[in-house]
Amino acid sequence: VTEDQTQTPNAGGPQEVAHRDYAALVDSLTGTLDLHGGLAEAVDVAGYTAMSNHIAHLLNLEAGLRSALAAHHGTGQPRELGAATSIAELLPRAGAGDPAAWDEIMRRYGSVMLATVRSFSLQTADADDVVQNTWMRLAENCHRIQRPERLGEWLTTTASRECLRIIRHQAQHPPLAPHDTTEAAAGQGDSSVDPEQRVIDADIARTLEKLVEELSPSRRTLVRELFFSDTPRPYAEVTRAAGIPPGGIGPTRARALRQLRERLAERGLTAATTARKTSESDSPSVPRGHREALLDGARRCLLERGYAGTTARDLVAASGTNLASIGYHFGSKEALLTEAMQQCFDEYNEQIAQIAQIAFADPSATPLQQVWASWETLVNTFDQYRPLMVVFVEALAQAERVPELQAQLAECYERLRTTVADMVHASADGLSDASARQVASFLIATYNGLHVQWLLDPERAPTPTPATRSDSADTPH
Amino acid sequence: VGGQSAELTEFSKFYVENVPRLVAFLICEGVSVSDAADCVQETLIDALPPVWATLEYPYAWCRRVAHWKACDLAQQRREAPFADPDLAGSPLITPGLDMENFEAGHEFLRWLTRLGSDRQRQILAWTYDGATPTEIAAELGMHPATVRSTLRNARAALRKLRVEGGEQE
Repeated sequence: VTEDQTQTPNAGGPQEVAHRDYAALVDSLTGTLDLHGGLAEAVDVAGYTAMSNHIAHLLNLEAGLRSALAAHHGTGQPRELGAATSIAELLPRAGAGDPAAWDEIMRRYGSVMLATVRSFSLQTADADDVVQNTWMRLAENCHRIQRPERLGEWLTTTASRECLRIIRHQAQHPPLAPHDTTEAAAGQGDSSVDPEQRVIDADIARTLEKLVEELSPSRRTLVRELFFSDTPRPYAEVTRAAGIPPGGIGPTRARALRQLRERLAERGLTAATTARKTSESDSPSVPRGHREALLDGARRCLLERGYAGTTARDLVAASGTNLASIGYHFGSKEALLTEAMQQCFDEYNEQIAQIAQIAFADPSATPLQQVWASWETLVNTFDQYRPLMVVFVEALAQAERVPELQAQLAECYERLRTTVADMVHASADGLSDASARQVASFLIATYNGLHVQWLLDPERAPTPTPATRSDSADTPH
Repeated sequence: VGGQSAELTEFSKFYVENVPRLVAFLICEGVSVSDAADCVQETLIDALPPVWATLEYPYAWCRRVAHWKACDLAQQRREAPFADPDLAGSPLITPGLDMENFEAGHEFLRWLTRLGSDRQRQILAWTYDGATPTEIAAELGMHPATVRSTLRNARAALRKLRVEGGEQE
């Protein structure tokens, strides 16, 4: 079937010949038995041969062979510049601009110089500069080298001086506040930060540096380890160095940062100005506004989904923040929702107090009339505050499971009682404080009951119409 | 020096005759044209004298070395997918040639890329290059029977693809 197979020049050992014959027999039998298959195989082999021939035409065999033979002869450059040529011979030729001589010198000393430069741990760009500069120096001074056999030392010394020059320069113009020159050498700023920003950063950094000095020893060590160190150490080592218990990093860091922030604020530097600085060092500092954004989002979520139906992801989506900031600012989703609810109720209570105040304001009315007037106004606000009332009822159901919520709702009721009692007191003189509070509790209870009935069935819920008014004439004074 | 130059003449003859075949073999195995050219060139450089004198079956040796060089290259690519792009290019490739479209230009290669497994493609490549299943098994560390059945499956798959392709057209 295949001409390729018949002209195979390669073979394994003689012991494989028998196997091969057998295999060829099997293959040819397969071909005979399946004529269709054999035909297809022939087509494939033809395709392979066509591809092979095409490749043969595409390849530049002459150039390839030349390059291979050149590899055989060494570097492709004439052999007289091989390892045998002394530097004393090479240097003048390099000075005269012979590229072959340059190649040979760079080949011999390139790695030594790279090793020297690398030992200074410069940034890649700076290291490249040093290498480039050193070769430039050599080019300028080719004819002045007195002992060519010690060219290697000349190059390493020159490279070292170039490195030190760069390090010194950076120490004088620190991109970020370094503690000393060694840190300046190791921790140069990111070259992507523009120079103006570096000056501003350096200024803030110096202030910050002074403030860090004033921290207590353990906090100072921690802040330095976490934010100023170039080689992050394991937390276990950091805690040991700072003398704080394992796991104490988070709280201590938070306290230290808060202290720093306060001190900075005293000096007129706001957290926003320094946020960039701290975030550069991977600090947990969060841009201002996440807390407020979270609260806003939480309020919207409460109204739309209710207390139990709001997930942390809903909160993040509604506030445009991230999951971590919930924990950072509030500790938990529940705490955030509770606080948001607190805000809602405070506002609601304030509104109601204002409405009630207006109703109670009519001095000519009897206390009973005042109560009726205020109720009428309140019931009329049901529509407006319906979502909030739903949240409230839902929250009541959750309170049993969430102690903080329970405490807060209880607190909420207590405040409400005080507010209403004050109003009752104002309208009905001569009432003792205790009975004013009783009246207030009764009013609130009635109001809550109305409120629930109205939520369930607004059509048939009792409203303060004149008819009912006369029925329930004896209010609890 | 005379002996060496005789060796080099022999090597040059071998180079011109067998490099296209080796490149075609690697391409058939699934290596890109430029990578195949690189691998083959490196292989032939390795085969230069003094190694040349020690090779009993130079073609089989080159095919094996080129195959493993291609495998190493693929492995490197997998580990560093954004390794520095090959700027220089192989001297084997005539500059300015549109190598990208080479594979698209051969129906046979298009069939190969649609085979069920890389193994099938590999076994076909070795077979078309003239290796028997027993030889292939030894080279690739497989059982000869596995090679035969893979080969049978590959041929069946090719046939099926061809029939389906014919129907579609």
